[in-house]
Amino acid sequence: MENNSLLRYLYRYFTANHAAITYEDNRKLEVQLTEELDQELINRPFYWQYIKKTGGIPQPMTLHFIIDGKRKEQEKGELLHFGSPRLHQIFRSAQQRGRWTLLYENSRQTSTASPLFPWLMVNVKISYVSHQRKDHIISYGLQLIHGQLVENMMNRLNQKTMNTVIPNHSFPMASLIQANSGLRRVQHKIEQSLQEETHEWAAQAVKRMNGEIDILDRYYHSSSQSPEEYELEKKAIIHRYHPQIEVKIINSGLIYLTESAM
Amino acid sequence: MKVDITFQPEWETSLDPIQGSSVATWEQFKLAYESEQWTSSFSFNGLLSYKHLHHLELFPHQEKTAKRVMEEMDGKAILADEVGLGKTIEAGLILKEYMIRGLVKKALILVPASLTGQWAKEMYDKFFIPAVAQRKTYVWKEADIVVASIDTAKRPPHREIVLDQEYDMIIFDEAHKLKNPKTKNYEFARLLNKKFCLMLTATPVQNKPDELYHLINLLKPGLLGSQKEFSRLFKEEGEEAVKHIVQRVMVRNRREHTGIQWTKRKVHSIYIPFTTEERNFYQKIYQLKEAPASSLHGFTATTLLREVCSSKEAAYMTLKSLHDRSELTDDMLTSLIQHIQDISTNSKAEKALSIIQNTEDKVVIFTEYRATQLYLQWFFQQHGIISVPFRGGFKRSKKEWMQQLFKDRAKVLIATEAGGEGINLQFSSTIINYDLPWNPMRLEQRIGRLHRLGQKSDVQIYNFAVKETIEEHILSLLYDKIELFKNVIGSLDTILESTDTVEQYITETLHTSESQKEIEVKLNHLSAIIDQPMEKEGSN
Repeated sequence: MENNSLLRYLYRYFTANHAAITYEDNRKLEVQLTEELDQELINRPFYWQYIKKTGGIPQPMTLHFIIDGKRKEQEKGELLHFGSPRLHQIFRSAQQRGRWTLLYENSRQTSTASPLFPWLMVNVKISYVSHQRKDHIISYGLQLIHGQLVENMMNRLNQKTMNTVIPNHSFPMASLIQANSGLRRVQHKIEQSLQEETHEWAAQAVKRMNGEIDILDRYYHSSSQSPEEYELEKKAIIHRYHPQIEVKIINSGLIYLTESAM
Repeated sequence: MKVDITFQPEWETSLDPIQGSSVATWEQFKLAYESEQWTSSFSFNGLLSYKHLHHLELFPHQEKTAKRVMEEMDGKAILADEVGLGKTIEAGLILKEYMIRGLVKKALILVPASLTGQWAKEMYDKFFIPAVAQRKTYVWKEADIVVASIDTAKRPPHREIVLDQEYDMIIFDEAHKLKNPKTKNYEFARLLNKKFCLMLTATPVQNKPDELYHLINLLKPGLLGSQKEFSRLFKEEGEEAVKHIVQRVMVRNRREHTGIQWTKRKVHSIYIPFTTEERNFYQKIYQLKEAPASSLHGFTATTLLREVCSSKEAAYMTLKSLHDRSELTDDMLTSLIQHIQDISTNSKAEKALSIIQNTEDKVVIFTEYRATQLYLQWFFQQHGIISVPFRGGFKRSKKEWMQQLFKDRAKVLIATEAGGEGINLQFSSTIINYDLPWNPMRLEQRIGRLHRLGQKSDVQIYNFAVKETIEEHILSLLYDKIELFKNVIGSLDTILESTDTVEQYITETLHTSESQKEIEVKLNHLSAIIDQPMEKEGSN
């Protein structure tokens, strides 16, 4: 099952980035890279320098992936699985290439001119970090005319067809809220909801931290431990347990939708 | 509870139209979002790395250990599994998990100098952790995961650089060497920034309170109180009270508790008769040893007798060097060479051949002598059997190459040394101890190369000894008696430390005993001693 979704993901990644799939079955994928992808995924700067200097014809590589972890005899190809560095390189590339977007929904009615409403979409990853870590992903949508803020935006849009050009017979409405101040609203909303959480995990981490510091303190007073060493250890304990929340933007975009509200 | 919230810098810049250089398509946008979902950790607990390590066959105790270290011990622990249960795997697993969760970015792995390359390779091969063996000074700063020896790291100019790095995790291999707080290594270890820290040791330090104290004090200063308090606790409340605290930071898996079904060891003692010519040669050397006017030193003679039992080639090499050093007269050498020339067959080699020809399995042969190794290689070749040699002195790359050749192409591997670490032969399950080391632990190490995690068949062990020679004593009086090789022994670690003494004892027994009876009594005594700590170990 996981192999399947990996294979589909790869297929989509390469297609979305204009590489040609030259072979595929349920366990293999063969891809003719574009020049751009070759430079990004294959580490051969000298080759590209050489091509540039000599004006040669670039020949991007073909990659062969095997997904089920079993290479048959004589079969060439890279075994790709969830842990392989290549896959994570592809993930990073995908994250880089999909950071910002500007999209217009293809409205179904074609006869009359119809309005498209501006939405700011911000996908956010919230990480709860102490000596442990937990991530939470939230997808926000903010309507930029009347300010409705909704969650779960990616799911709501999943089935829609959207393009980077304005479709015929559609006209995008102007925003009343600037995208940047929209972003501040989202940020404020996140802060607010984080403050409402009880943060049991952080309380636990602090409790454990204090326990460790207690032990260290007692030892410091009953032994010949130097102040420097004491400070070093204490710093390490705090560094390990100190609870904090990191909020990062996965990607964001301006999206013009037929819906005015959700 | 109020918690600090950090908004990453992109909150300030992400909507800046200049920065958003390329506009993603809807599909590219979705792909970015999904990749973030793939790589997130949605729960504090559990092992995400499991998903990353499809190819790695983890044992339940390894997985449990990793979880326990992270969830209960908060990433500071002593890993003290018995030999062969995969401490390195556990450490790698924990490191990987922290890296996936983004809690460890920079780590330092301190191991014995000879193992830096191996560790780095294992981290990459098994865990896809890009660990770099430190060989150049810039590596400290440039690489995120560095493998180095503590002896290098503690010395200038490295020392200052290393102490200046902010490591998220430090792993100490062979941590039992850090038992003395007065050493430079200990002092250095103390100065390192140990946010998360793993200490690996095979020595059951819990039997040595002082060493245990210093080790734990490095990991968590004060956990056992001051040294005085600790001594008092140990004396007054006893081992149990201490054990209780120690368990908070130490994991020690034992073979018998891992629940792994170990395959059996089938031990075959093979007593081989000499041919008349071989016997004559042996007798000749034996007489030399006994002759009062003999110039041969007693130990040298004993060595020679052992070599004769192995191969005439092995004995010849020693005779020749004795002659070169003028410890053997021309006449003597000539007469001995005459005996050697009379010998046309090697009885042991014939026996080995018949075992090899009668099994489908690949066979590992251990001999004590280089000359025998070469001879056997030639001898097997005469019978159309491909073999590869293996020596402890081979470079790492050559060892691996030989191991691979054996796995893919050859029927037999002939090794002169178990080589301590460095060779894993669990794909073979037949072992011939062509000649026996006089040290039971070395025999155990040999067997351990095959009989380890991953071995799927019962292991056939053939112990060779020539009848009516010193070998027979060793096999019948020592190895056959002790149960040592019937089971994987639990207390290997404990005995390993005293191996030199064992070997010395055997040599002296064989050399100085006046009678057969005396040898018997002394070796019986030895086997009783060896059996003893095992019972003790097993009972607690």
